[in-house]
Amino acid sequence: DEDFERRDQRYKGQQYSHLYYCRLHKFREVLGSIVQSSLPRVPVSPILGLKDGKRCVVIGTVYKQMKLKPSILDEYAKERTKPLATASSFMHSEDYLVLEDASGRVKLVGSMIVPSNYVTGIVIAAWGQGGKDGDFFVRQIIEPGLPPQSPLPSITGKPACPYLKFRDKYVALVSGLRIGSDHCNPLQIQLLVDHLTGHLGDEQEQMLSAQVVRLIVAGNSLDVQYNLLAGQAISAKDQARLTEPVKELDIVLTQVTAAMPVDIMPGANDPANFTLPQQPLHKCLFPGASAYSTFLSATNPHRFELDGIEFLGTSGQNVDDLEKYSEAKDVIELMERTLRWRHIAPTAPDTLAGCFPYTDKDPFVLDTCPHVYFCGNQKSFMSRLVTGMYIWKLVRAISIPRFCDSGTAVMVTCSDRLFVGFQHR
Amino acid sequence: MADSSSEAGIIEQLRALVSDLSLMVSYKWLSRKFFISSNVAKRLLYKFVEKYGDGLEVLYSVSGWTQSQPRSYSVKVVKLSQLEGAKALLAEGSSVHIYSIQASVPRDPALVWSPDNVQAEEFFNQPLDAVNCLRDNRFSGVSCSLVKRDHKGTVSSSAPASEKASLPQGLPPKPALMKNETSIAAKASNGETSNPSGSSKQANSTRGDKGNVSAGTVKQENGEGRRDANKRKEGSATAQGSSIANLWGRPSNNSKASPPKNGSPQKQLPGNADACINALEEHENGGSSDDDISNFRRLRRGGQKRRVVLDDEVSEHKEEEAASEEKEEEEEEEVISLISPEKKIEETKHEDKASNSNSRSGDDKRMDPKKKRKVLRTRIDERGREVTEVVWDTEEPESSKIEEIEKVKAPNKTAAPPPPPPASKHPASKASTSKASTKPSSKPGKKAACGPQQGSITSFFKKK
Repeated sequence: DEDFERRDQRYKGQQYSHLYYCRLHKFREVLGSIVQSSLPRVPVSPILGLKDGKRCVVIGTVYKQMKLKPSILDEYAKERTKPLATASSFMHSEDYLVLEDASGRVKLVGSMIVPSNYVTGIVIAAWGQGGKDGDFFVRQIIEPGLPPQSPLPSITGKPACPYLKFRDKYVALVSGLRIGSDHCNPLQIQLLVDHLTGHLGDEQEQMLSAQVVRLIVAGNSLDVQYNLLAGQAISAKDQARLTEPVKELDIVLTQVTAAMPVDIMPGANDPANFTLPQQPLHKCLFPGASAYSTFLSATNPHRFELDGIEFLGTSGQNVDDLEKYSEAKDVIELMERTLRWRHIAPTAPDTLAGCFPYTDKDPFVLDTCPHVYFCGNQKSFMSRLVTGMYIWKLVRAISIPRFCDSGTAVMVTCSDRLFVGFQHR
Repeated sequence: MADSSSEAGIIEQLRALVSDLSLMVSYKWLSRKFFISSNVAKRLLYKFVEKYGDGLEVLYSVSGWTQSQPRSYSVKVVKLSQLEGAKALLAEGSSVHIYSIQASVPRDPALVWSPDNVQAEEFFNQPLDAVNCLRDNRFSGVSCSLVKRDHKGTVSSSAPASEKASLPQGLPPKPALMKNETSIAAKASNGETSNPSGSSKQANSTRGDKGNVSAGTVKQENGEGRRDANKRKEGSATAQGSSIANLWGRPSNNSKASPPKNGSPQKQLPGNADACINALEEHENGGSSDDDISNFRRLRRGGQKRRVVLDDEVSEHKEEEAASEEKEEEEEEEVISLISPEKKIEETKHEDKASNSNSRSGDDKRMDPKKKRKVLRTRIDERGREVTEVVWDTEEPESSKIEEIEKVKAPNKTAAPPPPPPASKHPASKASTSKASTKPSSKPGKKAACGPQQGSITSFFKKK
């Protein structure tokens, strides 16, 4: 989590160019070595050095020119020339990709390129040749691929203990509690809490609860009533209405933290900062729960390690944004793409509004591959094993459904990363 | 634990509560009210329903693994009529117990939850020193030895509370030790796991000097827990023993005909201690740095705004600034060294320009790049205008080097090495206020809400 905490960074009016530069710089090395190993005789050329017909590889950041992308300049245009787009998807058939490196830009053409699969902000290498009109005809796109992954601790290596088999550890993931909203059902949340803390069920069931070693709340735990924050003074009654959900959440968290370690991540609707990476929710919001040693207020994205297994996840903003600007058959495919691009949130700061303009690093670049990769506040529960080029790189990708809608939490076992959906009615 | 006579007493009280007051009693409410564990509460409710259940509606909780794929674990609260249906959906081994009894089931599920919530809120609102059943989860069937609560006050007695299970007699602690050692050795940083579990066995917990709240659970049980802990104290010498002993202890608990106190499995957390400890440290660090961060955020925001204005006004006000610059050049000597060399160059450039400037209402505008506190002060300057400016909270007779720094800031805004933050914020704020005061043509009647917006009307438009 330290990468995501904005410890000493200050905003001094810098622009985002530093962020992009760091990103390009980092990936250029990675891609350079990949290109060398896979296409040894093809030179890597800067974009301005492209010659007509010459076969080479260019490495750069992708920019997707989208017709329907909302732009602030539209407000000043005299006529409304842009066709209206739905709020959920800005895709258009005439989108095209432009590759930009430190020297220049070039448009990517070719049938190998399907613009809907890519988004602005990723760094790739393109192998092809310069075309006549200054375009670059692409034969193959080379992505960084999954980052190196530390090996899973092997469980079979331990001396045999007959009871260890029953002792699979589970990590519980939940998101979208949305306490304070109208359609949140407090009974459901209470059932979840009762189960996790070991009150519910008979002894067999409580054995199951005992195996849960950690709870991660992945964002959107609160539903702040924004209409009350209209800028005027808030009456005492409204103040109570604003703080009620926070208190409720604190009671819920207190009950759970008294029983197991809890990590709470901020989400898009939580009272945390807007820019990614979101900083931890302040512990003054949780006076009851923050007294416990097991309580952790985490950043979004959140990375932690348990028993040698690396977990990484977000509250869903990155994937939601990808959904708007690219096409994929499901959320897990989008997550897989972010892993292959080695970047958690490539559209930040372009369209994923709110990214802190770092000057010296890009915190979303994945240097190591997590073993479990989760994403909160999605429509439904889905999970898949994502493999890299080499079969021993495995990532369990999980999309956590919104609890207020589905009443489902997710449990991941640490032993073989199976999952279990967990339903409350 | 409740023996039969106290059980009967509780049942009688229950009858009064439910029928006379028509309360909704859930097992959890019952357990917290009468200080019994939740498993005992469930049994009591069952007995109650058998005896006096007529006329009462009962809600059952059905939990178990679903039969259909993908297999998931489902928990449902259902009425009696839906009970069979719910059970049919689940695989065998599902469990049913009474969730609550009430005179009539409300339509809104939230109303089922609300008496529990009211009770929880009562416990929650107790003073932070009090350790109550909400705060230490003492009535659940599961205990966690890692939980430590620090409310900056008194701490409950730290009896050897982490183990509740009894060691099966025949198992020597040694193999357990070995196993845990290898598992722990496999992990990278494990030095801290040994300490907490070890010390919890002795009656002092050394982990971060926090109290051992789970003492409550031991008190809840009879002395058996403590006896077990003592036994184990002799048995295993190293710290790992306690967590391993839990491992051994749990399955044997299952086999016992279980009064709930012995039927409580413990969480296995050898792998987690690190995570928790790290979490704790991060948490503590996060707290302390929050103040700094908020301070800096305030500063940052302020500095940023002012800098934008300065950009626009630099050309208009160079002369005045240059003059005042010159005046205080000597005092600025020492501060120059703190600022990057680029600023020095700019300063020499402006030395040539000379003009009379009105003295700034700026004696108070001290700048100490090292100090980081800005304070808004409103004064009437010599021209009768109200000047609100940001001054540094220090008495150092440091003149403000705002001018040259501010001009340097403008071209260097996007330069890669950022100047030291305090210095950069100082110039922005000071320059704008000085400009405002020195510009005679600025609207005298214009009251400034904050420094940079004073003075020029064009700045108003440019900013917007």
